[in-house]
Amino acid sequence: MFGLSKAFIFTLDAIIAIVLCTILFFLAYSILASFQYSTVREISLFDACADVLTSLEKNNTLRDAVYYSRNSEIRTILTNISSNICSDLVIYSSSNQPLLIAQRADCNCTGSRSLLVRSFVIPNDNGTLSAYFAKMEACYK
Amino acid sequence: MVNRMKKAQLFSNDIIFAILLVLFTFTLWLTLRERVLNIITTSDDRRQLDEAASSAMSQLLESSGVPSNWDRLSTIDDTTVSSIGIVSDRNNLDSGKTSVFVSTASSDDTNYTITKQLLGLNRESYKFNFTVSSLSGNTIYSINYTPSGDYNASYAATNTTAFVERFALLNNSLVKVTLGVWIE
Repeated sequence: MFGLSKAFIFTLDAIIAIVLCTILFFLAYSILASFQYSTVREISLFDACADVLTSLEKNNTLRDAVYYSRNSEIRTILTNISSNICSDLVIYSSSNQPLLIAQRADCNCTGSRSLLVRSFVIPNDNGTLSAYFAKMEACYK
Repeated sequence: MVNRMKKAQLFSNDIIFAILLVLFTFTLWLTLRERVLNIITTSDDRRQLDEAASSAMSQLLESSGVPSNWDRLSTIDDTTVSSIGIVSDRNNLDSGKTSVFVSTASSDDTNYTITKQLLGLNRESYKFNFTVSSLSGNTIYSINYTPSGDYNASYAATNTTAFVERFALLNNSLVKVTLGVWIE
């Protein structure tokens, strides 16, 4: 009788072990099946921000946006970024006051984010320079 | 005598159960192993494809190429050119370089392969296409050529293609630059 009890306990252990093994197998399988590396995706977010800020700075769109307080051109560009990317761009004065905000409409982030800040200067009428910051944030829908 | 028989019987039950458990585990492992390996291989192929496309696009939009006057050379191959870049400075497309890049890659099989290698797309099975278009969608430059002649937009648009889409300036206007790389 004692021997039977011992064997029963051992069997329970084995059952628990095999159940754990099975769970482990399926867990590993499901994790691998849903695995998506994110390095390239994050790089492409950063590239999108860098491209937009560099291009807008070089073709003076950022300067014009500050001069004329208009965000329509920037918003058009943000809308043309890949459809699975949400983005917004805020221009700050040197005293860190937001001057202009442009963002893609109806877009909610669920994935990883990337943020890039770039400073640029605009000449004033009196010959001095004013510094501004453009902050662009992008994320996956 | 009775005790010994009981012990032996108990031992046999354990062994049978243990064997069944091992067989079950082994079968489970065999079943899942193939699938897991397949997932890992597919994922790795995809990663390499994405990285190759991303790296080739960065090379095109962030450097003017080596040598920087590669577009004016009489012969463009791996002995005269180290890498191809189509900008005069970062994100500022040089229309001359872009034009030479597109016409060279579209001219014939050999030049397509040379261009592909100069972009760092070294695997023979890799194929690529390239487009520069305005924000309104008008195509300005395009490479839609592949040596096999199988290129068509719907094939290249499948999710086996790594698409990289970036922005640059062409004549001071913002344009969309797209590079697609796939395995054929």
